[in-house]
Amino acid sequence: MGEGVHSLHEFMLRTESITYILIAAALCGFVFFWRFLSERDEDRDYLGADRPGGEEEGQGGAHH
Amino acid sequence: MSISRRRFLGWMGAAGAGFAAAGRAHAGSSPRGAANPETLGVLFDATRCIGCRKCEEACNRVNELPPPERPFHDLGVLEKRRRTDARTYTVVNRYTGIEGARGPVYRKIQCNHCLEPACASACFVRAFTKNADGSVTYDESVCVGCRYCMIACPFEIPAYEYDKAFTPRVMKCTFCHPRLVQGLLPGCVEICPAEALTFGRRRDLLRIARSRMAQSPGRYLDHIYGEFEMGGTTWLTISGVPFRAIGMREDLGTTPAPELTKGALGVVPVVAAMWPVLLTGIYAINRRRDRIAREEREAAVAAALARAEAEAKKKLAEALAKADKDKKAAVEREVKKALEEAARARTEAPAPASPEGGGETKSG
Amino acid sequence: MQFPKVTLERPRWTPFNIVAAIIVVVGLVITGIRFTQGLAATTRLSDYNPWGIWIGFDLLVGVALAAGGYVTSAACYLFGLKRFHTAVRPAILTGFLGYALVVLALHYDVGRPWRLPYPFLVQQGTTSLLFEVAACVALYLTVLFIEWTPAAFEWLGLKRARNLVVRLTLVLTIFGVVLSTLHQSSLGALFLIAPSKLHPLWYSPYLALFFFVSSIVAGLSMVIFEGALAHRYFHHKMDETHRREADGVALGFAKAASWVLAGYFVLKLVGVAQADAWHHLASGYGAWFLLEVVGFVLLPCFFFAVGAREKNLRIVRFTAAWAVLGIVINRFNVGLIAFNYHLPAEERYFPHWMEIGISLFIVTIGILAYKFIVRHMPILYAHPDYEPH
Ligand code: SF4
Ligand code: SF4
Ligand code: SF4
Repeated sequence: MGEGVHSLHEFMLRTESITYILIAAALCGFVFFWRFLSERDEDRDYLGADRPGGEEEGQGGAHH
Repeated sequence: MSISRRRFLGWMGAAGAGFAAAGRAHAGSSPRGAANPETLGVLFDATRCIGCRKCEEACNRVNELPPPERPFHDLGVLEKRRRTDARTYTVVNRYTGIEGARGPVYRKIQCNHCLEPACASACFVRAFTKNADGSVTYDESVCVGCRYCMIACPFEIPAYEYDKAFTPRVMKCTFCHPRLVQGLLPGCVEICPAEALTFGRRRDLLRIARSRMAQSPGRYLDHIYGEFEMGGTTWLTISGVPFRAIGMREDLGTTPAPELTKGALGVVPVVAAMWPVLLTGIYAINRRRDRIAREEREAAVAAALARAEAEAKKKLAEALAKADKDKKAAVEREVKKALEEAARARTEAPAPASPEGGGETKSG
Repeated sequence: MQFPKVTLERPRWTPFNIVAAIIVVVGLVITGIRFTQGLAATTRLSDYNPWGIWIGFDLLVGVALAAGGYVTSAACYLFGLKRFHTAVRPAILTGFLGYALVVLALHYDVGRPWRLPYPFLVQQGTTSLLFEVAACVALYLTVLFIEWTPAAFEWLGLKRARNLVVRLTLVLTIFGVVLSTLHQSSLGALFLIAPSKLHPLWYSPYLALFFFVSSIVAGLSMVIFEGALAHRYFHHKMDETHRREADGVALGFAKAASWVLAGYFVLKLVGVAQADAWHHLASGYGAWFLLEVVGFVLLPCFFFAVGAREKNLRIVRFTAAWAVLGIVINRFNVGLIAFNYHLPAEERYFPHWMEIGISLFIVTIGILAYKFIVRHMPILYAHPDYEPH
């Protein structure tokens, strides 16, 4: 009794649960993939490289 | 009692077989229209209900709810419009002065055990279960008490034990699920003296309702409340007066609850997938633009510097050349002077060297 | 490495401090009642009205008004508007405090607060929009906390920890925007499941979009508004850069808010059109709806535009407070006023004074925490030992 999908609710419970797992995996994956993608840029940006922003006016007029 | 124990148990068996078959048929596919065909339900016939409150009493007893403020035989409570609450899973209300009705009409309220329960769809800890027998039951062991189920239920059924500080629960009719499992009828159905409640398979109940309408023309409105409302409910109501007049909303529509939130839920993964892509893209574009701007500025500065430097070099070279020439000229002048002096000395010799002369020579 | 000394000034009995002290004491008493006697003793919640101002104000309004964090950090770090840099830290701080207080308020509201982690740890109701809201709020509170830590680390002199976090700025910013988009919109989507209870002028399939777009307005306006207050009360704590950039931030944000409000206004009209709810405009609810949409969307939109064009900070600041009030009204309408519109008056909800007491208590804690942090940590000024990030 009770196996199979009898309601939209049950169906969505399943699809949504899988979707949430996918989302979590994707968000982590993005971080590493972007790293892989831009790690060889001479002007490496972030994620363990230099600081984002910071040059331009931000730096020049920041303080002192 | 409208249904014998034996027939009831027979249904349960058939239902079990049906569930299994249906399960195979629908497993893995989109469930649209796949409501369990063996779902049980109850048909409430408002033309039969006499407002005796016996169902309230039975419900209270079988569910071991706290005793009511006023005893169940006190029909005075019918003066007031009541709803389900934390100590009451079901109530019967009296509606008077309805156009076209001879005397008052009574209606029983309890959970309708929706085919697509809004409460279950809304609960973020899955405290509600749509059981195979059709009942929607609640598990207090996980409930956080957010009361979103109460917001969601279109029939305003779930109630909350606001007065408990430590173990408040959501309270609602269980379709007597524990009794169904034991092969017993729901308490309210069992006791009803007027046969206003009929228990059975939902699809049979729909047939029964229609045949009653056919048998007594004019007695009923041509509408089975719950057949389609909010995607359908397992507890159904038929009535001789407009449902509106007995406190039932006619504007609920037929969209099942999960359908209402499907769109919004569907946007979530899209945002989660595309926002990082877009935002990182925007960031990278800005960064690149900044870098190009910086490089261009640097290049311009460098060019300007180079130009200035070249000019300065030229000037320096000129100056040096001029200095060189001056120096040469001076040397030549001095040499010439010295030679002249030497020549003069030779002609005027012998004579002592003048101190000025020595000084002059040195300074050259 | 020396930990900084916290100099607690002797409490001066300014009117603010007296009022704050009273609110805190009363709040603590109500807290005691709430957690020993239950919700019935402290609220007017009922079976018809399961959500009161602890949801309508503390959650819905609180989250919207804490949107400044993601709006500002996105503007500065992602969209490259570096002139807004000095606005980031105060905005992150108020965002963090806002969300922390929202979560605190939820502990009062739910029946069994110690079970709040259940949706993640015990059983996941993934079909619920509330699950999504809960997950995003929990994650975003964490993100905001991490984003705020550099200020604390600078104060404590923990250089290496501070630099480590600063290097994560971009990831955190993007995460913050994703999570904010999701839960800001889902707060509106919470009501999608109850089309029969929310008045048709407010119920719309676009509820999620309405909430998201208006959260941007709320974030921008709150930054302007808080900036004005900070200027008034913490001027001495600001460094040169902050003071110089502040006016530019206010004017720039005013322009952005005006533009977003214009879009929001059109969206609201589209909502009415799609629901074909025009005839409802002639009712009492219709008048109230028009007041919200014209008086608190269209007019602030216009006055922000005037303020930005004329470079008039007075208009801009005044309009910011006005727009914030508009967001408050909108959230109250969706959560409380237009919700259960079908019920007879005697079944409608009106808050118990203790509910209001707790809401005030929570806001007061927020203000006190803000004051403490701004007084001690480099929020309104750049710490001289560190480069701004
Ligand atoms: S009537 Fe309400 S409580 Fe009962 S199943 Fe339907 S949504 Fe849930
Ligand atoms: S109150 Fe309990 S049962 Fe209802 S939605 Fe919240 S957690 Fe689920
Ligand atoms: S089915 Fe059971 S719980 Fe529900 S109203 Fe009847 S007696 Fe009460």
